[in-house]
Amino acid sequence: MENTIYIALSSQMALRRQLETVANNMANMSTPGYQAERIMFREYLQPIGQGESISFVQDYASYRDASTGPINYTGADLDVAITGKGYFAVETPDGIRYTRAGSFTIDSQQRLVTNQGYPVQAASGGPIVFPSNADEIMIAEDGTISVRGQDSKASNRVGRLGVVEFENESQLRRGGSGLFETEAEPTQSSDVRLQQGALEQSNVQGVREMTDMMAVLRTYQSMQKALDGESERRRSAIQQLSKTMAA
Amino acid sequence: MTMRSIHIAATGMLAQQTNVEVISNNIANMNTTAFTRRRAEFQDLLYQNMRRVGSTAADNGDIVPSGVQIGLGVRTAATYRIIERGNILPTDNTFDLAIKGRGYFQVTLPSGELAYTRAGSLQLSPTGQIVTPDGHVVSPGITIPNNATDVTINASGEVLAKIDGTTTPRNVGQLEMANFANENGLVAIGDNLFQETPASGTPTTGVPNSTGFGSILQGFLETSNVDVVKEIGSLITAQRAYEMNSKVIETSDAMMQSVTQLR
Repeated sequence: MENTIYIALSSQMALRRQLETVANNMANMSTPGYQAERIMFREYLQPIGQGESISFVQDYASYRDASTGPINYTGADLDVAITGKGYFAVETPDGIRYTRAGSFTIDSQQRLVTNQGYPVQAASGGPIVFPSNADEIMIAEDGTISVRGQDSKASNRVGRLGVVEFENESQLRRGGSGLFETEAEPTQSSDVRLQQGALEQSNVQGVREMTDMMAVLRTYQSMQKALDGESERRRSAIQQLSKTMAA
Repeated sequence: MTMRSIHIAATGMLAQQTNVEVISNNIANMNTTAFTRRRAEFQDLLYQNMRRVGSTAADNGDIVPSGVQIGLGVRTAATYRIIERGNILPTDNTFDLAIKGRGYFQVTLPSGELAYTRAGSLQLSPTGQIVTPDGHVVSPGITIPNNATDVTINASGEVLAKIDGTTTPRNVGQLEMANFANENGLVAIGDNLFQETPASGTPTTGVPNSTGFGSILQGFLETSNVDVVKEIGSLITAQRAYEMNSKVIETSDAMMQSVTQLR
């Protein structure tokens, strides 16, 4: 009896969550290494007897769009973009976290750190420590970091930036601040492609989010229309029936 | 229940506003000596788990392959200085010094504290001391004799004054420089000056042109490293991102409006 209303309601609730996801994507349009989140809907069937069933909407999963964002040249020596697959491993007080945001700096202990101050892990594990007289820092495509002193011509190898991969990337949970967490064991990537002096921008596409948002709004409003229609139908049914009874 | 999306979009608008502020400061300082441009750096905020990824979906041990996570917006994580050296511009001024390589000049503030700068447009005080344009002494205080006809500052920071009536220049002082492990950790106090923080580490001092320190170029100044074309590009992107976030608020508003019209 009330099913029409409940079906419209299930759709509206799912649409609200979708709008929240769109809003978060738009808010993070300028966040380096951010990957857009998308919601997946499915039909939820409810049998109502005699082989008939009605279908509700359920937003049962959201997934990350793992495509690489545009690579933007920044000119900073310690900005590193991953142009291929994989994540940097970062040592936080809560354990190892993973990120694609490669805007690093050097801390007061000469370690390579993220802008929250967490040390970035080398391919061999442990932090990357620079010598104090490093003047020019070079990061090769495979992650090898070398430095050249002020007055020496030769460059010294300092270490290699670790880039890790996962068998199933969708198991990574977002932890905020561009960091991902997971219990899955990472493997060192065999095909590392890095770009020094560049940052991977957010892969959010404004056009796509805008059109998604318009679709959400219009679907929401048409659900509202359906609710209005249903309420009108019921009102007139009650009036008609009460008239018939009175007559 | 108000809509989360309004607040999420608001964080997006705030972030873009910060972005525009940083960009406008860069453009305003495009002609400031030795100014290093800044960049606003953003991070995503916390996530709410509507359906946790990896949780058990059924008794047989099936797990949810990807849950529903709703992010709560964006925040400004840092405003970075991009340490890229500016151009070296010839000025032919005796006390214009550019640092080629790493290092900062040390300046003694009136409070006695030390500050650091790369802006080497120096002057002489009434007593002949080498000072910044604000009159702060460049340490160690070097006094140029009154009767000096010509002053040469060489790559190693030795100040050589040619005294009237003599043929060989006299060494009147040695400029010192300071270096930091993390230049980005310095705090800017305005007037082209920086001060040390726990993040920058303690300074190591030394003479110019020694290991780890840049050399001095007399008669040159380091320009700012602001690239105006790039800044204008960033400005356009920031403006559009701001607009798109405001559209999210409009959409949320329209959705709430259709709810209030529900009978």
